[in-house]
Amino acid sequence: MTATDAAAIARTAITPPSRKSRVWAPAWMRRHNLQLWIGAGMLGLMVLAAIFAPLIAPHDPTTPDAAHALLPVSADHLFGTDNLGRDIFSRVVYGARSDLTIAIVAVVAPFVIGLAFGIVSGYFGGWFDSIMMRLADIVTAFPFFILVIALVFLMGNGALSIFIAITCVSWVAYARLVRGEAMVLRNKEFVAACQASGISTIGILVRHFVPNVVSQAIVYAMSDIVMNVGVIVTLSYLGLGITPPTPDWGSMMAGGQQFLAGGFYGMTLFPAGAVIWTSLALSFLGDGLTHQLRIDR
Amino acid sequence: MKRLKTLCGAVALASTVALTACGGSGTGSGVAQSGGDLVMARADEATSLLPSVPTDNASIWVIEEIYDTLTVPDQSGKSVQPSLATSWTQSPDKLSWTFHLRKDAKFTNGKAVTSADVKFSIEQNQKSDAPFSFIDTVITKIDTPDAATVVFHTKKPWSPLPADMALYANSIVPADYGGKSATEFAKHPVGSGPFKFASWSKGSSLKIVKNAKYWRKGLPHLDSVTFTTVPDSNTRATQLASNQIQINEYPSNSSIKTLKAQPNLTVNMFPSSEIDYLSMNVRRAPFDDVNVRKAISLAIDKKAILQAVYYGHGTLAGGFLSPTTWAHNASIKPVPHDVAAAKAALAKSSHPHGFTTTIMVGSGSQDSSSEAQLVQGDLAKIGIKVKIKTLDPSAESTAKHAGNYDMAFGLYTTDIVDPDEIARFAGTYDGGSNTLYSGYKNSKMDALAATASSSSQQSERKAAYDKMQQIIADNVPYIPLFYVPGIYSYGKVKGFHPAATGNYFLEKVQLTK
Amino acid sequence: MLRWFARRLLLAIPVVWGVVTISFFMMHLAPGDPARTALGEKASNASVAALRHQWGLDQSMPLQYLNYLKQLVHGDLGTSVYYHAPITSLMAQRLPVTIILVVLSAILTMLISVPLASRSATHPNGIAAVAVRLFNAVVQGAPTFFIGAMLILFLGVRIAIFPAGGYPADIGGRAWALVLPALTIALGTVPIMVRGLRAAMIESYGSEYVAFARSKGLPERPIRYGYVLRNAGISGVSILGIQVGALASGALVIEQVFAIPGMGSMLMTGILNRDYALVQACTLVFGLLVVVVYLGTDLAYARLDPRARLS
Repeated sequence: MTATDAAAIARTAITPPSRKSRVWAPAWMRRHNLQLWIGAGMLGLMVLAAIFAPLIAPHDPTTPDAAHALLPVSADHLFGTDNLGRDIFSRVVYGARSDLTIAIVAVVAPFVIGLAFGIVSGYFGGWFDSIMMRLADIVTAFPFFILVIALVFLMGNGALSIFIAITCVSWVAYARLVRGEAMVLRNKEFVAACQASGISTIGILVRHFVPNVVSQAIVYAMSDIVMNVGVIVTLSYLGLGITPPTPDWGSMMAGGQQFLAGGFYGMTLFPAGAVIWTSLALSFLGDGLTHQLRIDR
Repeated sequence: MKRLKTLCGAVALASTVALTACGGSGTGSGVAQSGGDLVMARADEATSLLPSVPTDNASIWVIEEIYDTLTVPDQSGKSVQPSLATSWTQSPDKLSWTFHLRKDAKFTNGKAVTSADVKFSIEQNQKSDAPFSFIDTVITKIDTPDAATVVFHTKKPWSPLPADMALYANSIVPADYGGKSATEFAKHPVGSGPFKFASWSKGSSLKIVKNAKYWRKGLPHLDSVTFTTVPDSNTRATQLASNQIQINEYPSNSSIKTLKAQPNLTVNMFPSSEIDYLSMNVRRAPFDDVNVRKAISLAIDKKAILQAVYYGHGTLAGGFLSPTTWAHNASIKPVPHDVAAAKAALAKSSHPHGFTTTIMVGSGSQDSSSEAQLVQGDLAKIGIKVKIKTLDPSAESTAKHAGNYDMAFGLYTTDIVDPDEIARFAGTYDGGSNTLYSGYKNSKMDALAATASSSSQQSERKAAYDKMQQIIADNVPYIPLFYVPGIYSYGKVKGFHPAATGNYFLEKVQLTK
Repeated sequence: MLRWFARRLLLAIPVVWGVVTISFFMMHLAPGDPARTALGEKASNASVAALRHQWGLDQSMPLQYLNYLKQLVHGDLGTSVYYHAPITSLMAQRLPVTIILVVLSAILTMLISVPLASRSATHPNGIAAVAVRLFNAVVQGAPTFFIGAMLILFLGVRIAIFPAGGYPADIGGRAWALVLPALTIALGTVPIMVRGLRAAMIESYGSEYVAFARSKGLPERPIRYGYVLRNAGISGVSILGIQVGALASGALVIEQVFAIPGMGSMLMTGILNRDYALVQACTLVFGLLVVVVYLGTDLAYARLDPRARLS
């Protein structure tokens, strides 16, 4: 392996030498790509909940009603109520809106930036590549949460800050992944053929490189969304994320901590369940996509 | 004294969780014993033991055990008593105070406490980079006619001076720090207080031992006191139950019920000068309209907040001077929760149909966040839409000082027993906070504060402070929300009774069997 | 080999410089004033200004930056304004705690991952493999602080085997107190590790070498331990290497949750009090830690896999 590279190691880890071991499911599941359907189904439910939140949620998720605080699970309050008397079920449903939106939107920019830098870096190599990779190393060597926390301090709370903070950090993974792919492609014969037939470099990159590397990046994006959900809820937990009273799984869990001792688990466990549900869905979907996009063949 | 609502929600995380696990262990009859090591667990570690440097309680309350001041607050926090000074008098022209020192007080390095030490000490706190230098700026000159007499000359007649001398930052250190640099001295501080500095292992514990030559005969009872740093309130509670520690500083509000249920522990709420408030920026529209401010004050259901967030531990506030001071105006009642009246007040204002605004909250404090959400709900009922803006505490304080916010929560406590400090801080524009960051300017307030501090007639002073509280109540630049007690839980301990100013008086504390 | 090493060190310089520069400007540009934070609410504006002057905060930012770099080149990390102590001595107390925590969590990661991965590699269609798959996805999805809270609740309180946070004075107590936080951090890395190891093992089982060994009648045991695990070990090391950043980052949040007095909680205190020098020193040390571990990983990689040439 080349010496410079933590980056190279990263590539080895994300892309094992041959690819048949990438999909992780028993054979009976793989046959009909059950994973894809289970994942899509689970995520679909969550997305539907987010879209139709006003229809699904039985109560107003934000208006406090201190008189009905900490009620247990009941028919009226499926998940009980929190310390300010709000319906936890309604808040979990509305939480899907804020958390999923940011998590998914926050994948787009790093995806595009990472893809562009990765392809250019891998194709041209040289000084551009060196600089890109040093930049990537700096981001990696910086404690992730400190970077995010500092950026949120700098820009103030809210969705936009979270979005920018995540972009600053997570483009690196895409860039490394794509760069590796691009380095392999660069040496393929068709590239030389294209160059000989007078196709412009940009043409080659857009028409031949992008389609070849994009499926890998899409699969990675699935696990990236999971990470984004984690970042958003952790930030909210530290009081630096989505501002209250907007329902958000992280701040709900943070608010629930001090009531665990009194036996009020609902405030913490239900939003935690939603987080885990989402990540399970994305994890299956990622595997299913790997299979479907034939990255494993 | 400064008391931050702890930032880290994360630290509080483990906290309440384990409470259910700590069963009480048997304690005996509670017979006092002499000697022994008292262990006190606190959330934060001291930052410095140099009296003129820190502002955090963790440091202040150790400093008060190691050093003496000229005067000390009494238990109620309403007046001061002799300490290193046995008596003090104001000159007939009221422009100087003469303090007579006791002759039997000695530093733990063996040297007697003299007027030269007093002069040096107060001058340290007058240096511009000392946080409490504003307390001593009124002093123009310090004379030491003899070893046992100190004369303070003041710019103007200044009756709070004896109370100012009880401030921890005015603690008496040896002149010239005993020949050491300030940094060196801070590592091995020397005072004349009931306890002597022994060791400080940063990150875990700080130990002080009995000063055998303490001038108050027969005190302290204890051989030593160890302050441990245990950020997690849950761990502190567990340690208290197993008698690993004897005093737990600041149990969390939500845990008090559980703590009280334990048979051998005492949870006590001592009167404290803490007041929680909601401030409005009167420099900005629509808060420049007193009717808007009155409407907000009427719309907030303070009782519900006290119950939901503080579990009822505290009282609804009226006047902005706490009931722990003699200057408290008891005739000002808490503003009632009255939505109809709030709507009526708003109707009279420049924004009869409400408006959109923001409320600033320090990040990491679940309690503040809950408070803000309740206020948000209350104000929505009269048509005021509030957005919550979360900032980390440091940025929050900068925004407050810069007047860059709409509404904000906060709390204040007094550091000296005389009402002068807090009346200026929370009542006047130039008292350090622009009237609690509201930007409310009223020359009457300045005049009243000046009258109160220059008069030596108690009744005249009281009348001035009463008026100040009435003006704030009438103009509502901020809403005093609650008078909050100091909460401690403790086990096998006798004689623990912190003053309203926070002083622990550990020399009077005994362990019980 | 020596040249390789020297080149790597040279390449680390811009990385470290970048980390230092980012943390410098991030702290200095963030709203909030260290002097006001240190002096408290009541201090007069004059006091705050005096302290700002004393700390050199009234100088222009480029000048402060140059002074800071100069100081750093001389090996001086500066003084913490919050702790009133030289940062090197603070580091000497806090860094070992975090390093032990990170090492412990790395060990736990391997102890948990190897059996899980190897089971799901050897019996890919079994119930166990499905269970491991589910476990992986669940753990990956659950936020670290939540895992921490649950571990405290169940192992620290309900069945009080471990302390529910805190850091006692005695060595034994300390070791015991580090188990839960280390486990929490480890669980953050386990899903990635299991996935990687499993892939590597399946890879090896399918290789010609194993087919050859089997055809010669070699029993499964030596194949598993002598070849498959060795091969998987290579990927394990490289994954661990990449994850060290994540482990250290995890330590940061988790030290707060469990009240462990390591670098993470010090860094947090530094950020909240705008203790610029302290934050910069901590990020620098974190950065160095990651760079050094990457170097170490590459070395280990080269030792384990003779095909990897150090060029």
